[in-house]
Amino acid sequence: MKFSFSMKHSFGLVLAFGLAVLAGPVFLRAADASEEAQLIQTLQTSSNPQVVGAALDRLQRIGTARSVPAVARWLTGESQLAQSARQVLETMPAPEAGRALIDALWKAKGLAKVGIITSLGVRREAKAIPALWDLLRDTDAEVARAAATALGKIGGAVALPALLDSLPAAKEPVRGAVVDGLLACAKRFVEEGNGAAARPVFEMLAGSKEKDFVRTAAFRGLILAAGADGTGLALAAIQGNDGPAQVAALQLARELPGDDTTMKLAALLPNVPVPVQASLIGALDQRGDPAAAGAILPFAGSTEPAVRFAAVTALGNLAGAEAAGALLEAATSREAVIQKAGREALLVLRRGDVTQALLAQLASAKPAIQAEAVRALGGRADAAAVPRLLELAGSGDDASQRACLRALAVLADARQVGALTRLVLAAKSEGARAEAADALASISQRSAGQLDVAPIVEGARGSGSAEGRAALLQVCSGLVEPRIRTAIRAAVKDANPVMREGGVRALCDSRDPEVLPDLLALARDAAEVNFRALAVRGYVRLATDEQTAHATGKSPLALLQQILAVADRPEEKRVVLAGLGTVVDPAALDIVSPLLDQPVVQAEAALAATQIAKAVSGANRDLAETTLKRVLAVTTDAGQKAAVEAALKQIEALADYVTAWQVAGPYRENGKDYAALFDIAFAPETAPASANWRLMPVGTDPARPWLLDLLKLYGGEQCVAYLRTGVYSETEQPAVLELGSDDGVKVWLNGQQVYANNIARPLTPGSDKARVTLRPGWNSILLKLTQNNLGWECCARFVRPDGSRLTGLRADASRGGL
Amino acid sequence: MPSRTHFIMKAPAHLSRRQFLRRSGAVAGAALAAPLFIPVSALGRGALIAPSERVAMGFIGVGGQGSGHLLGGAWTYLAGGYTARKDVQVLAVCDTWRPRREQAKLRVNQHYTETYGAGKYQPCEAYVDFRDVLARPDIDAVLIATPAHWHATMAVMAVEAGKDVYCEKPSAVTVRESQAMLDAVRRYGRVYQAGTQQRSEYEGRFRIACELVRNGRIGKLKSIYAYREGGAIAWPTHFGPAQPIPPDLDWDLYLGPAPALPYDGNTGAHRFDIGELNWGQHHYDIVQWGAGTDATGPAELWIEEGKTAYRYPNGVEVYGRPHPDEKVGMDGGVSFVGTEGRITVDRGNLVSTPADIVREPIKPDDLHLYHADSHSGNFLECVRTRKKTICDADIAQHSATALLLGGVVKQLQRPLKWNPERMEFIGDDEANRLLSLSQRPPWRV
Repeated sequence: MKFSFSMKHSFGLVLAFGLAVLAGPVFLRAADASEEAQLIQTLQTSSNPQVVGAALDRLQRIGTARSVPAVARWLTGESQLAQSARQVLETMPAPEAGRALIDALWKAKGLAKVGIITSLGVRREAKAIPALWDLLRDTDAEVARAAATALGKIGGAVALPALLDSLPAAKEPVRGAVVDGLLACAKRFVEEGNGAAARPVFEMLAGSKEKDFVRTAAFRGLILAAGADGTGLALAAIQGNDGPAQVAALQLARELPGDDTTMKLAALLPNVPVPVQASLIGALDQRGDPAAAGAILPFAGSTEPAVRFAAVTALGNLAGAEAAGALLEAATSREAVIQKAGREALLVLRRGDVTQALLAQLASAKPAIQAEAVRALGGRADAAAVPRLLELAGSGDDASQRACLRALAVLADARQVGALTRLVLAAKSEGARAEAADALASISQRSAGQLDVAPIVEGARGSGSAEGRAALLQVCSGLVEPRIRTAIRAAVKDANPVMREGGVRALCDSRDPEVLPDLLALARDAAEVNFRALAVRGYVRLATDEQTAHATGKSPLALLQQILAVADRPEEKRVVLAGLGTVVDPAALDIVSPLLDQPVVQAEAALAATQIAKAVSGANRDLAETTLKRVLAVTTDAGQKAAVEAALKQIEALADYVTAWQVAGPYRENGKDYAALFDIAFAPETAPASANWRLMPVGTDPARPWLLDLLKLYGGEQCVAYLRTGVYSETEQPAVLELGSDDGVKVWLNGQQVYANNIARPLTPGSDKARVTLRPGWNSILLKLTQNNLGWECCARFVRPDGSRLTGLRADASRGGL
Repeated sequence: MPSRTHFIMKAPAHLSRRQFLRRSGAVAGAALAAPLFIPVSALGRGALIAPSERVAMGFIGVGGQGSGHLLGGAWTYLAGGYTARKDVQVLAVCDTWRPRREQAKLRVNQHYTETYGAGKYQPCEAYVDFRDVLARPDIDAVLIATPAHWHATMAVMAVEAGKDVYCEKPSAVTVRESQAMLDAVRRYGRVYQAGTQQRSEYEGRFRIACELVRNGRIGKLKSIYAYREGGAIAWPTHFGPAQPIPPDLDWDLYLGPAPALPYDGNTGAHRFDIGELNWGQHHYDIVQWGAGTDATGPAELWIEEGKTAYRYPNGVEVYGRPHPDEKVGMDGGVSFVGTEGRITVDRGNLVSTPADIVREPIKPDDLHLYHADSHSGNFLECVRTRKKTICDADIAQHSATALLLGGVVKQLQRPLKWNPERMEFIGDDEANRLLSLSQRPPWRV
């Protein structure tokens, strides 16, 4: 076929736009001088909707007045192209675009006309006002509504009369649009500083019988249009009986100008109904003017919860020390909402000496108030309170002392260790001693191992009361330090029973792996039964602590075997079983399983066996199932049976994941992100034999044995990798490949692409499902996985089309690929 | 014993809910354990919703996100959803898919029947056309959880019908839409809350992070890693052959302002997205909060390392990618980098370098940001009191714009300058023309 120049040119454009279209969203190219002309020609010569659409799409960005006639001819045509043509003209700065839309108005009908009217509104095309005025009376309600909206957007002194003119005769559904247009016109006058032009419109609508929400809008506009008079209007409305006006005024109260406006608003509070009080306090709160605090304070005691809630919240933001008492009262409220508001307000209260106001409550107030004052001082991180708190903690009555010590537990730091040690030793009541010790323990926890323990150790080994010294030992138990270990060991051998008990308890609470032999000996040799029990408990806790394995090089299982050997009584064995239940090691089942036959510990053995079996089921499925079935046979507890059955179901649910894979990658390309890489073919697709295949490590996460973790293998971002394997099926059968991937995944089965999802997301097993047919014999599978950032994981298994388990398949990593 | 009438009872059809309450002198909710209650008669005029009254709501869009709000779900931050709240009554559900709306209606009414008894409440109705929901005078507020291309259009129409609005993110899909949404909310004085719940939820992590940044705990703020880049939508110009429209679907209402595409089986919420339109507003909302730029926006935009990047008028740079040295942040997160440290926050983590920065609490004299710890609770409180919500229309308009400007630079792939006051690109008509998209009639904002 012989092409003329223009035909060839057109064909080229068609091809170019066809390609652009097929490429998806068009990222823009710079326009050259001739491009617009080419696009105009396309619009004039092509009848292919997709080519025309692509040309219009491009002209939206680069079109000038030159393209207006060519674009305008599509305004009244097929709806999608008409929308694209409007898009070009709606946004084009050239005035010719507006004139073309006006011209098209009279040729268009129905929704095409509505669209053109809308575009004129978007352009705020003042020259369209006469036409739109006429269209307000159009018999097509959609046309009339669109005209009213467009006039509202155009606004100004010419559009407004058109809308006002049509209002008396306007009926729904047009009336709503006319009213909206009037509100829009008037609002624009206000924004342009011409409140005088807006006021008559707002006054007319506010005083009309329009719907309540229209009157609210109009009254709102009226207040804003009234300038300095607006505050007076709002104040009157808040006190008045007109609901819509009141709502508008309350909503604007937070932003009304004027130096004394806050006080004028606040002065209304005592004389307005309860719901208005709550709303008005909220508005005063959002004004952020502390001048309102005094007027709000009495409402912190309101019997109306909504008012009290608003007042308490506002006082936190606006008030100072004078409100501390009222807020503490609120914080002790039985009404949870009020209590929470009170506590939060105390944390932000910040004018005047709030610290002193709260401290004053510690010395004299009710215990509930004291407790809230302590909570507030701690939450406020108010270190300035510490000296006075230490002073009060050493004097005053017992309740006051204890309250101060609770605050010190939060606020004191390493500098107060000596003072608090002295308070422990000097405490006159067990409660005060415990609070002081807790404060020390809190400092210890917060110091992250950097604490100087000398004052505490010296106190524990000094000449103070045995009770005090024992309490100090208890504080030390959380620290791993040679001097502490020595002190605890000495105390365990102390002749004084108080000190000995303190030493034993500290030893049993210790986090020091070095004391494991001491605990073992205590569990075996102590004459006191309760000490033996404590020792077993402490030993099990230490043995199952991750840090212990690092420090001693011994496995939890080996350590627990030692303590099980000396745990004579059933209650001690139960504690050991609880520890064994946390061990992720199939060998633990060898120890636990025999205990299933001992009735006195059977329940705990069953629980431990269930926990272990679940944890190891990924790599030891048969052993786990055998164990769980045995537990099911011996246990009589319904809850335990249900837990075992659930575990068996879970094992089955997670079974059959394919874990034998070869992996190749990672593959990257400059400037391409994960989404772009999804469709770029790398060696595993183009030349599989040349790819760097290796065996994919599995079982890297014991809790998710089915997981293929590419991040652990390769790390990195914006890349892809491939996985391949072979799956053997005895027969041809339909199946569903259930996938989970982080991030995107593409799948080929026996050389055919069967699934693709280009996405960035975390992994959810089974999130994606591909229906496939497995052929008899070996089926080759290839997965492509993209990596955006962070996690890079995958899992895959076959199930029957109804979702049930598909048994009888086996995988061989060496048989995969395209 | 005098009878007590609760709002949950059905109102006569010819009366608005407020009229019904005024006439019956109802004292609602006390037995229903609304947390705070005041007799409605104390108000006497019915304009404000008294605490004793339930907020009557309609749910537009009850797919995954909407049904999570309505009924609770694995992802939701509101146990049991709005249906379980005793201060709310769900009167309408709406979806273009019949099974979704019918199932939602069934579940709501089941809950009310179990809680209040059969026939003792005004039932929830199902609608295919959201305009029918907006036309009900007895509905105070709507929750919009539709496909993204509908959000702003529906929000504007809801506001123009006198409803308060909770709208899922993105608040708009073009900058012009975002301005129209804000303009409508201001025109009518309605309460609006964006579905950017990170300001309220997740144990306050995002607020605390922003307060720490705003109080100078990382020194002078230099840059922000937003983890996700800008986004936009584009109407398609290419489509495949038409499929039969399922009888349970109103395809035309699904499309709404989008071009009249043939049905192709895709009724997703984000089928027209470019870039990170889905998650992006969560991230840029926190970027703007932490940077103290809620009322403004970037001044310069460009592409860096393949992702969008911004510079704000105060010199702070924002990168649409993760911080290279952080392991957390993808879950809605942001990383703030200052002269003296770094703070990274996401839904599950708040971390800093040095680590002590996040351990030191915000003190009373420090700057405090708007504090709400329940997004839905904040919305409902503001519906009642007319206070400004934690993510009101102004904030939503600016955070949506920050996201959508990235969508423009992503499409143009060249540096741009933006005037945040005039809301236009400087000297770049081509970029300015990407600030809006035409809508299929009769839809408009």
